[in-house]
Amino acid sequence: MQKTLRSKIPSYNHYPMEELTPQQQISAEDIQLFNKEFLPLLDSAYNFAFRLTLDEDDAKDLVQDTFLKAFRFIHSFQKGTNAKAWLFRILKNSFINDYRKKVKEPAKVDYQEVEAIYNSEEAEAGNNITTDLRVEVLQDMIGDEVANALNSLAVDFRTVIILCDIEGFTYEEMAKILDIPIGTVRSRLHRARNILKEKLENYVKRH
Amino acid sequence: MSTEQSRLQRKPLPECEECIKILQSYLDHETTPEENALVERCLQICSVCREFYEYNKTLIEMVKRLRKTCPEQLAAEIRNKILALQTC
Repeated sequence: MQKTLRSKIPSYNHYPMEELTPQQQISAEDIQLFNKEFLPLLDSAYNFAFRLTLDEDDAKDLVQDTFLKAFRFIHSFQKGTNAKAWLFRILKNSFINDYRKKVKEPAKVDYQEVEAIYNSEEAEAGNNITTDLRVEVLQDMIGDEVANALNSLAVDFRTVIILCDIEGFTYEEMAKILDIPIGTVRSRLHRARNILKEKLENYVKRH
Repeated sequence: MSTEQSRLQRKPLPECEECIKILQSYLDHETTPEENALVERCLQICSVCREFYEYNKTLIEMVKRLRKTCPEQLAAEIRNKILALQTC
């Protein structure tokens, strides 16, 4: 089994940074490249933007800003590298710089707060992992329940689940997009899934 | 209970701890060939790990189904704006 995205990953300095200036004149070759590589990513970008902002209007603005920014900075995209990872990095940076301020949730995950949940689950996993793990229970859930549980996660946790499970990025690609080490991607993703499971199991117990 | 079922271990095996630890990475195809072999060996003989595997796999599949598509009007607006920038 292989991930869908295995193309060459650009190094950090090939991603657009704030100090870069937009190109005044965009070449015909870059226009062609943009139309071919980036416009087909509208669905993925919208999906990511919506899951970050949890608001349709903000998601629309964020996607629009991202594509316009990507077009203006297309000269800094290294041809042959991963266009989707490049675009997602722009989107993530735009979200942090322009949209996160508006969102009424903590900017950072309180990792200490979730540590206890994670540790207890991990300990449980080694000893008695059968207690609440019922595939049938999960399968009986409708999409809304899973979506609500996902949306209720802190944004940093939500982000890694979306990038990995929905968009199919590798840990290495996620590390580049999020500017964090691969080890952090791995542990954050595992924590995020454990918290998601906890939320779903609590939901089942309540209903 | 079938012969196969009766063979299955309900009590975690010594390998289970390692298996559970790397199972999510295995599901993400981020494990080494050696780790793959360890997980696959464990899944064949341990129903506890298999249950954990199936649960995690189902959860990932359910999350995958949450994909949203870009509203057509937004897609058209963006295409038009890009086109305008291309022609100016």
